[in-house]
Amino acid sequence: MTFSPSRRHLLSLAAGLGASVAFGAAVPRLARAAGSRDPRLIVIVLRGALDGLMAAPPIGDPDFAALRAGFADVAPLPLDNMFAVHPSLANFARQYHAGQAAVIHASATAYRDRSHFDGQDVLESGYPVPGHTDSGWLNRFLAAQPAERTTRLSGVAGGNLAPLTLRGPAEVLGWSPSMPDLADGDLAPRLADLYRQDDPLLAGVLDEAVRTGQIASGYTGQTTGDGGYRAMTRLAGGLSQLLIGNDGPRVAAIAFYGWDTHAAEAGRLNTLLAGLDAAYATFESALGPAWSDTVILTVTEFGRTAAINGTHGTDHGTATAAFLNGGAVKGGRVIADWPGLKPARLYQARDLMPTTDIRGVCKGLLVELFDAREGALATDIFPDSAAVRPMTGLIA
Amino acid sequence: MFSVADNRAAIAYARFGLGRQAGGPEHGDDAYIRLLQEIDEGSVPQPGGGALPTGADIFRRIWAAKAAFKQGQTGPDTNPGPGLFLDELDARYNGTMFTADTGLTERLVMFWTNHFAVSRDKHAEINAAAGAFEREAIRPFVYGRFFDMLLAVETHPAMIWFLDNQNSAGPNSKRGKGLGLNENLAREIMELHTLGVRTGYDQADVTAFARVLTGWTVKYRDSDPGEERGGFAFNARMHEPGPQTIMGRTYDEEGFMQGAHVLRDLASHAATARHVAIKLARHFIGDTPPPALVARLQQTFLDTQGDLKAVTRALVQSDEALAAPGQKLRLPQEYLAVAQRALGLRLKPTTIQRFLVEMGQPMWMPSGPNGFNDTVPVWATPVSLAGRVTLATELARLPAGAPDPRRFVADSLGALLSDATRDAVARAETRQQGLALALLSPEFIRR
Repeated sequence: MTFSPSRRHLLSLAAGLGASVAFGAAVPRLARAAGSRDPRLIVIVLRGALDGLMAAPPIGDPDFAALRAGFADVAPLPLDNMFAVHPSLANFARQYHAGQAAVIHASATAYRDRSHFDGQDVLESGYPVPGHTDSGWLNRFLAAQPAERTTRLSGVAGGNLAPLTLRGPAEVLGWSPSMPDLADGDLAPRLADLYRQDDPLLAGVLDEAVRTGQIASGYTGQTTGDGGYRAMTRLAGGLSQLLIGNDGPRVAAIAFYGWDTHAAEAGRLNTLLAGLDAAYATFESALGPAWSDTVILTVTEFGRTAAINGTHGTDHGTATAAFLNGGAVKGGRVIADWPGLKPARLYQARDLMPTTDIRGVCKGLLVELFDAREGALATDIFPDSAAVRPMTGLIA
Repeated sequence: MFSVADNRAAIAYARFGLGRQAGGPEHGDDAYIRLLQEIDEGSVPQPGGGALPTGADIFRRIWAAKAAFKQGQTGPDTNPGPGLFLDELDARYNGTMFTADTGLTERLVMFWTNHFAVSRDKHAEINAAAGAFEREAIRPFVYGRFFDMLLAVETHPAMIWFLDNQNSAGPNSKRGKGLGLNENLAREIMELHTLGVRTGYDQADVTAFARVLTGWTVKYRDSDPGEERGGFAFNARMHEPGPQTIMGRTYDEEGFMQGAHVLRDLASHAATARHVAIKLARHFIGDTPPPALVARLQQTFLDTQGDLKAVTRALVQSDEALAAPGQKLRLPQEYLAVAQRALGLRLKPTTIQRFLVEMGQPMWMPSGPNGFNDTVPVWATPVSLAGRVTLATELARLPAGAPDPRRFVADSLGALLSDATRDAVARAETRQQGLALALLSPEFIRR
């Protein structure tokens, strides 16, 4: 394999970031789209099932207050008459009012069960059913680019483990900041729950370890490696550096976790959404002029129950909110066929009813940013999805 | 859901082995039979397949490095110890432990290495040669005779050096004017290696035994007696002449044979049989070893003149072996191997070393000749658990085809999997979290 000058440049760029970069041999390249735009697509996967009703509360819905009365401790930021966003999403709200952000509400994949692994596999693989873990829709899109159309490297996966979204036959870069890896603050509470059932000895040892700070528990937003603020902004900054390079990648995927808020949801989402919002701000500033050509799509495997549970949280649900932001987004609107929250209108009498298939959003972005062909989108990139039309008009 | 046979197999595997390998044979009735076959076959693999250096060779290299250092010649190979240690770790954790079928033999090697413990933190020689000690003095004998292991251990340079016997000389020996008597080796042989504490020997016996052992040394200079520099040598000029009386028996043999006879008698003593039985039962079965089991193992030891194959078989076939799983915590050194095998993950030796240190059981580095403590409370500590959490989190994050955690936990635990663990793993937020929960579940930490 010979290194082209552009790759050497990329390596030294990445070295300057204090990061590790992995290469594959034959990396497919993506042509500059017709016209002046040099589009970037960043897919953020939120693992754990984001509560769409908390992230983008439908404050204008007459049945919302009864479901969530007193749950949020700080007033949300209004978007329009009907919808608001969580107060931690201040930058997103600003982008919305500047016409550079949109919410896609009551959206979901085709998956109707409630397993995180299976839901994430469906979300990321692009298949309508779980069990497909070899490749993701975005990677297959890159792999489908014909050689003569392509002129540059195209994919970069952020973080320690490339999200399934960008895994597959097409070689992509991997980028991860050199910092202690994100500690999963959610592990210790779950482990404690498990120990408390049958193992009082280990439960006691774990409690003591948490109490004395030897094992991290919870997301505080203060400590390093907290799976939150610092990790999200570091990743956003690093990916941005790569995405603005003349010969750099144009497509990125990254996953953040911690969103499975079965308990103490209000406090946790305050922190987690603040981290996500800081990542949005970091992308915006670090991409510089490239921000005007960028779309960030934030998705999650499913939503959460409409009602609160007994531990100040929510359990696994179905429809949720997805976010679009970036200079290329035709924003300033909430895209939703809103089903309402009356009990009869809830999915299985418990969850927000899905009315938009998120695959349509992904397809629409690929068509309008990268001239993807609908036929391939319906068969290879999102198999068995002929009935799901690409959503048009997402791009400014 | 799981048959009784599956349950027995799973218990036996966990209790006596190193857990199931990724892609290895299923749990099933014949898993238990394979344990017994492994004992009968009695073959013990050599880490590094013969390519690792001998203890004597290592001692010579360390002495050469020390001499070079004294003369101001420093260089990358100045101290070969650290590199050797990593090679030894690699040869086991990525070698013999990783590819073992049940892991019983490796568990036995770890047990006996801890019973006849040396510690790397005492001298550079031991730091470098602890692995060689295990390969040469422990491994060949785990299915052999206790006396043979005992003799190999007490004549190994690493043990002699560790217990300060290399310069021990009898007061009436030719070297007695310049050198003094050291009782360390004699005491620890009686107290730790054979009879056990307070079993009828007194200080006079220890001193007499120490005199017997004078001259059991390591050849250092070319002019010293002995075949190979760095290897065991009996130095008659250091040996206390004359008969010695130990526990009522008089030993009037000459030279080296005097000590060999004492060791033979210690090896066949009822107290030794009991001591070994208790330690085996405590390690494999429970902190309070069942008295009936101890008695049975002790009797087997005595009846077979210390045939460790027979004793091991008696242990594995006992009723207690298949009862009440989960009484013990997997020691950190075991736990790491179990996790690696379950995930099919080889690791860098420096990573292996780091995990063992963080969990509190650095390889071949106990705080004393009594080895690492083998009871649950000592390992049920926040520090050790935090080390396991670190290990589980890091291993769960390593790429290369992370398995579905739901399948992983069912495959690796078999009939031992509890509903609580299965549900916790299924509900995890990410695959990585699911794998970490599986690795930290009570069924994985305990055996």
